[in-house]
Amino acid sequence: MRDFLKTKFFLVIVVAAVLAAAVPTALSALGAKQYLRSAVNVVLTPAQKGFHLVADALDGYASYFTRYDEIVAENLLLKQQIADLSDRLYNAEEAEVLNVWLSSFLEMKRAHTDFTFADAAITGRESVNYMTVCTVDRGSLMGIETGMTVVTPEGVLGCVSEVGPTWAKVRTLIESSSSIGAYIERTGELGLVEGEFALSSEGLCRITYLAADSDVRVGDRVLTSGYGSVYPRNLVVGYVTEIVPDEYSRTVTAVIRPAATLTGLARVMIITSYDVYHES
Amino acid sequence: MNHKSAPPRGGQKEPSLLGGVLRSIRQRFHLPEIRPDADALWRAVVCTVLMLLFALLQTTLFARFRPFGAIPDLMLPFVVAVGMAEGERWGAVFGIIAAFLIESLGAGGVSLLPLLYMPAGYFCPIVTKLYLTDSAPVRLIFTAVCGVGRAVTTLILLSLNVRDFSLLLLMKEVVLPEYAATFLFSVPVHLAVHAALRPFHKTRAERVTTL
Repeated sequence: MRDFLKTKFFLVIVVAAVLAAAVPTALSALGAKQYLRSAVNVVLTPAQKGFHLVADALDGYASYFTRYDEIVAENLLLKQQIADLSDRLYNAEEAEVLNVWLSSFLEMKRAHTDFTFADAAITGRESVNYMTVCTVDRGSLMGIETGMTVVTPEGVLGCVSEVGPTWAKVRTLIESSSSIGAYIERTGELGLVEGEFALSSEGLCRITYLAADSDVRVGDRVLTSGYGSVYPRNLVVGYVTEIVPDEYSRTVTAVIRPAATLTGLARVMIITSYDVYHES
Repeated sequence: MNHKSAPPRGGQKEPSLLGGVLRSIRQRFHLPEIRPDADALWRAVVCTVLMLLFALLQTTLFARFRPFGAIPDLMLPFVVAVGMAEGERWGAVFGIIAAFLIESLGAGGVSLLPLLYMPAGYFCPIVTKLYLTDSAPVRLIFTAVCGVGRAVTTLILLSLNVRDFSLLLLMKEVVLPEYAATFLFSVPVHLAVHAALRPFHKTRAERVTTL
């Protein structure tokens, strides 16, 4: 052993080892070791990047085994969070739709501060091609009564014709038994909006008893007159689409396309109370 | 026939300036002439590639996974394995180079690893040559003993860098995990070095003669 300690190589290598320890330490103390490091790192950094990529891949693969329980628990938690967020999203979307729908009634509410509304969802429709009657999910238990006006943001849809404890039937304007006191907004001429079987198949109704010299025109807006205590005054009924003179009764009949239709409708408002119009 | 007075053979190149300087140093300190053959160069290349591979593994892969919660020192068993395979000179030289490399890749200020790796690479083959026989248990014992030296080095470096520390905590959190990880992963390091250098040593007798 002593022979190995006395060789020139051993002495040289000991000196080299001491220098290899002392020089970097001295450089570090002088703040110049970065030059030494950068020289090595310039060469090895590309290889290190490659090894890091391999390490990343192995880490991802190994985590399936080493972190299985953790991943399963995390997966369960994420699923619960997804379900919770989905519920929230659904509720938010529903709230947004409801908000938009309620906002559409703001104008009507501002114009008629006396109105009291009860919202209702349409739960059933008449199973024929031309729908004239529908069912809503509000009934006598919620204060709904026969004859109450049913409206949409566009205008009058009809009135409640039949009431059960938790449901009500709504008869639309185009139903042949329906009639509403109305007037032409532009001229103020009074008439009676009635449903007619022949027109209902096209989703239309008519306003009758207009004077023969009436100035009614196509496109005129028809509003409720408020007479009869069934419909409040100044709700939009529809728009004149055709004028038909009646030579025998010396009156004019106008065909009306109702502003509110059942097509695509999911919710309605029922006016539960309002101030009855009295002509002053 | 007097070889000393023989004229230089025709076509032989004049030594370069660097070659002349190295020759004068060698003659001044009476160092043996180094004439690396192709086989030795290939072995050096293989050892260098392995050293870079283990250095990269230590600083990337194991820095990520941290077996036992610590980064294993792959350079130490590599140096011992090279020394056992190629002799004490190779072990010592690669000990210094490996220490320089791994400290350059690290962020430490004080360099102590050359003083650990060089003796490890130098004395393990000598002890084997004089008193033991190269075998797996002997290499494990060397790794365990060198691991103690690594633990002491780690403690010294930690005491220089950490102001308020508890020896028990350092042993539990750093030193012992590092020792266990180094010991565990020394096995594949030894196997890899052995497999890579095996083609250069067909018989054990050849390896002994190179020492």
